[in-house]
Amino acid sequence: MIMKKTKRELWRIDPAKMPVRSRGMGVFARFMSNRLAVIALIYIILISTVSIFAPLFSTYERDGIDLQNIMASPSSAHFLGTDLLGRDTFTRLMYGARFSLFVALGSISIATMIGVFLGSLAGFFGGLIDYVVTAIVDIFLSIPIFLVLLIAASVFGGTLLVIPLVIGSVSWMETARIVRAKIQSMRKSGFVEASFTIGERSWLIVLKHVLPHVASSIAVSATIGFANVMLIESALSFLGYGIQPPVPTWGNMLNSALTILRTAPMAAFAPGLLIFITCLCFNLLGKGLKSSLAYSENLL
Amino acid sequence: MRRYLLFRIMRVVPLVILISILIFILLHLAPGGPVGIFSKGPRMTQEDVIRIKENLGLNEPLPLQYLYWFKSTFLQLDFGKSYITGRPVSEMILEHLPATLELMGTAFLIAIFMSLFSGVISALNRGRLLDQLFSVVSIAGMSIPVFWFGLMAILIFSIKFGIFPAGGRFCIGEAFSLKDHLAHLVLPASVLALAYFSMWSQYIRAGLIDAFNGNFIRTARAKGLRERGVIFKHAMRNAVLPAVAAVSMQISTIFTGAVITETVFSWPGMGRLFYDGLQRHDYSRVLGIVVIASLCIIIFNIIGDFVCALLDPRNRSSMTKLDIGAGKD
Repeated sequence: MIMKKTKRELWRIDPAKMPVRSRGMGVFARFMSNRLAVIALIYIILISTVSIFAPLFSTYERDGIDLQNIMASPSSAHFLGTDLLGRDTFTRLMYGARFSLFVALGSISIATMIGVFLGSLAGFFGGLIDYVVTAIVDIFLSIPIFLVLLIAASVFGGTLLVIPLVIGSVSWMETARIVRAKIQSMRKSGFVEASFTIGERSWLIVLKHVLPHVASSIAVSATIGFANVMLIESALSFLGYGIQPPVPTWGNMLNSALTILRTAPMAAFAPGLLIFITCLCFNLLGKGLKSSLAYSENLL
Repeated sequence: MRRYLLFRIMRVVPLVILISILIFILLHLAPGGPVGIFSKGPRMTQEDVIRIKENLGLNEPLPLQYLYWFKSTFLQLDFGKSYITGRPVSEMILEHLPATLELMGTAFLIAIFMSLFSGVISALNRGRLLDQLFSVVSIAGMSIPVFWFGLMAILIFSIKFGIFPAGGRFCIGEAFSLKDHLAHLVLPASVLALAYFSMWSQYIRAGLIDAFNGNFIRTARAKGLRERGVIFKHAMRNAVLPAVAAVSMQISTIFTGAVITETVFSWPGMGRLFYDGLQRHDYSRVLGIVVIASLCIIIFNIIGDFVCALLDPRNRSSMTKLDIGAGKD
């Protein structure tokens, strides 16, 4: 009886007959077919570029005050109006992107490092270490994180160094959970056993052989986590405990626009919308990455 | 079952101890330590500070201080007196608790109802327009800053159209009326509900789709059960389980939303009390609320685990938080 061969069987029988396409190409092709994710990626690239080259796009200074136009509504001179002190909203939004993105990037990098470290410790070594890590995660999941964040930010002050550290050190649990689960399932596989038999040290096995397999999951969780830490940062700044003015972030621009909500609603509307769209794009990108990577993992 | 429950509650003990140490450290990290706020007063002499320190027992060695503090805070729920108002903190918290429960409870109910509804619809129409619509709403809800959404709601519904009041729990100075109360509740509760809904609906949907692929659903359909019975009796039971597990993992984000919403809408609840205390450096109040919130989260977690164990006996083993949803990512 002739059975139709699935792609997987074809692969096993004769790799040469497979269409010439690496795993990366497969992921790429699948990702590109997800229109929303591609749009999200383009937006993210765009906003990063604008934030890096902010001075080129604006004729105003970041903290420059236009006394004739305080709380102005949008006009040809001030594209999105001005704020309470007469600073150009559009200019500050572009500079704000720098700090908002930087803080989010810093936070998620720290969170990912802690999460990967603890997750791989727990997943690979198990036993007592696993128990300890689980206990730490339990603690962090049982404290009202946002309240503690607010306290920490008010104690240590809202600087560009402190905020990413503080946010990062309370946002790593999801990454740790994912990494631990993945590594646990890989712990017993042949290649790990083989590395043990040739006398490789365990931390080298984790670093060289196990973690690369988890990299895609880490990337996905970091992308989605980016949106989350950005929301946390903006909420902190909105409540007045994030990065302190005059350094603009989208969150603290919203905070200072609060008092003029009735007279100049644009100053509150624009930064919030940017936070919304940016987080949306990171979420969409993460979702797109996840589905394209999951597909190729099933194929292998 | 009783053994499981006992085991689960036993596991809380070390957790509470570790959390209390963390909070205690936080208390002493505050600028100037626990007496920081007093020593800032212009008429305060060095002797006064020393006297206050002695009165508060701050001259004892730290471990002893911790033991005293632990005993009064966690065993007697006595958080001391507020630095600002001078009233007992537990009294202030009790005063503000009903408002928070009212807001969170309403938002909870709306969100649960909406996510069950949208979850069922999405799972039944998988990949079709309705499913995509709900999933867009959910991703958008996850990405929207709660405070901004609240502000825009105020801007549109209160300032522009004047349908709902912009903040507060009731009109001050007016006699109590249910209509007035509900009108104040609508905006904050809906804003908070959207935040919860966007988290939960995806879990329900994923759980239902998972369940629909199961053999037991085919059996249920094959033996001629009505579709409604299949969905709500058989599939739902299995779909709710991962949702409950996932939600209990994020229980602390629920408080995040509440603090922000209460601040935006000047809702006189615990979140507002906390924020107010933080701005005035009222550390006894702030830490009292952190302790209460932690205890709430721990209790919610136990309830969540209990529900999981009730729904599925397989969960009655020594599962830990990290194992939930393992292998699903």
